Amino acid sequence: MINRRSPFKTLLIYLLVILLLALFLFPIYWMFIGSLKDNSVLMRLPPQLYPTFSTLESYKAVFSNAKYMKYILNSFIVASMTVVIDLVFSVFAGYSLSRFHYPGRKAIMTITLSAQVFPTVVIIISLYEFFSKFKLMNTYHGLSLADVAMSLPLSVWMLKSFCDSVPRSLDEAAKVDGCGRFMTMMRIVLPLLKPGMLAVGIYAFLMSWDDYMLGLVIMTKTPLKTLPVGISETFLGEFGFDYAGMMTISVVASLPVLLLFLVFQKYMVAGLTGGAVKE
Amino acid sequence: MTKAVINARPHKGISEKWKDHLFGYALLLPTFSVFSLVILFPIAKSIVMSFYNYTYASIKKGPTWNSFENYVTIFEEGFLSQLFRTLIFTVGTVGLELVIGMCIALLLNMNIRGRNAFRSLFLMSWTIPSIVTALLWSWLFNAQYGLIDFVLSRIGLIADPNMQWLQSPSLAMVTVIIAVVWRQTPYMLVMILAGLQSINQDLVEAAAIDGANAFQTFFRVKLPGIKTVLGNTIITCVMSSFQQFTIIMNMTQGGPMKMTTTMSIATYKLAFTSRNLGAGAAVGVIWMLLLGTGVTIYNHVSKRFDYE
Repeated sequence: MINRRSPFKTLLIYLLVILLLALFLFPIYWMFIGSLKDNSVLMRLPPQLYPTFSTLESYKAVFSNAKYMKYILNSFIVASMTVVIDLVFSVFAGYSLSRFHYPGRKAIMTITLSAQVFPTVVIIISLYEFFSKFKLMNTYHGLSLADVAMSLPLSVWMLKSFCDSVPRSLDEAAKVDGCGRFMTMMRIVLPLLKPGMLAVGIYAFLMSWDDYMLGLVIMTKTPLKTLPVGISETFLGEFGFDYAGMMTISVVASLPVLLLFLVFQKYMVAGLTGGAVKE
Repeated sequence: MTKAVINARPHKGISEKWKDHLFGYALLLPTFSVFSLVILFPIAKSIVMSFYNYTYASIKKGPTWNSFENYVTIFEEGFLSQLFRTLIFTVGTVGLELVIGMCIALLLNMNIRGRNAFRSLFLMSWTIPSIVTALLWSWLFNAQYGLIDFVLSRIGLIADPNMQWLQSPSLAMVTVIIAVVWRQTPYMLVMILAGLQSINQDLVEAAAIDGANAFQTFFRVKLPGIKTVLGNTIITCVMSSFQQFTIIMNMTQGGPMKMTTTMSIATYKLAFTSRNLGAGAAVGVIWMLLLGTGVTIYNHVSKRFDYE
């Protein structure tokens, strides 16, 4: 900056940023304090804007409900499997697209980036038949596989750009030393991709944790349902007026991803923006 | 091909270059398999289904060819209005995400301390699951006890303290758009900010020396500088708005009076509530044609796959 900003202008910028931030964060605050009140307080006007810590009843209700515990466990199992499969597949594909210039490479990259043109809802119309044929309906690995397919396009793209930033001379040096192609990838390039893999892993977890439509169609048996589907069934149905319960399960469903993100946000931002900004 | 044959050493069979290629293909195989099983085959099958009489009732007898019957059906079932609703929803969400995201990104780009911390805090709403977003905003917009009605009536913006949002045909779309914008704007913001920070600072300073004001700097230097990122991000957001299902379904179920029935809700309802898979697939086919054409034209004009 050539001319220094006046302190007044600086203050104005901070005030604006903080105001906007408050608007974005308020619903999250509202959810947290709502989960700590009971329904008699929530259904009272004017609304209480401050948190009270008098009741944990709705948390007790959630954690003593075997059905919820099962939904949460199912979501965790599916999301973890999704992360592992997505990472292995996207490291391979990202490395491949970054290093080898085989025929058809460009077409593959175009399809990868345009995969979102294919709507999930159109896929599920006929996914049922394929998944039945391969015995993937109502299985953890079936739903993970579907989740993997949804997160792979961006995962591959992110890892390709992380691979691009690893100097090729490393590969060549390894080759001169007699290292095979697979070992070059695993021993030389992979250790340098850790930040990228962290970003992709978190992204895959967020995607799978957020999925509602695929879970709705693939997991038809109650003991296998994932958390979003379970929440939707409960609160669009008989518990539509249990606002405290609604906010509590919302907190429970948000906390794992919120914490995961806050701990690793640096890698996440790098992963999201890395592939897009490069000229 | 011929080059590879010439280069090949007799005792090895294939050249080093083709070994590289084959290794590259092999690494793509797992991804390609999942893609085929979960995306490509089902999509192809859905396209075929859209030309068949494929209802739950007809599956036992075996689906029969009925040419463009499903397409006639979907137009009778209000396809044009669903298309219109989708466009309103998409333009509304992406437009607001763009404007709000751009404003915040420009503010954060003004050399302020703690920029990265602010950016991460803004991104928090993006990590909140869609189902939670739907519940949370339904509660905020609740007609009896909702905070938004209370605040708006207290400051005198609305007369009715129990104003219906999600139940009102004219307001339901606005409500859903606000919820989606809250969740998606941080993505737009982060991408734009990354774009702004990749602009060469010398250009901005040169513009300032030449006496350009803030608006001129924005439209002549910054906007052209982030053209590529902005275009790609908008495309991503448009495609994701077309796809939006969880939030709409759990806030309004497509109602009231079908005012929030976008194509993704319509496809789901035709296929799984009316149990007419063929008609659901037909909506999907037109949807993909529209989006596919749009993206192809964009790719062509922007040449976005030309860079390496």
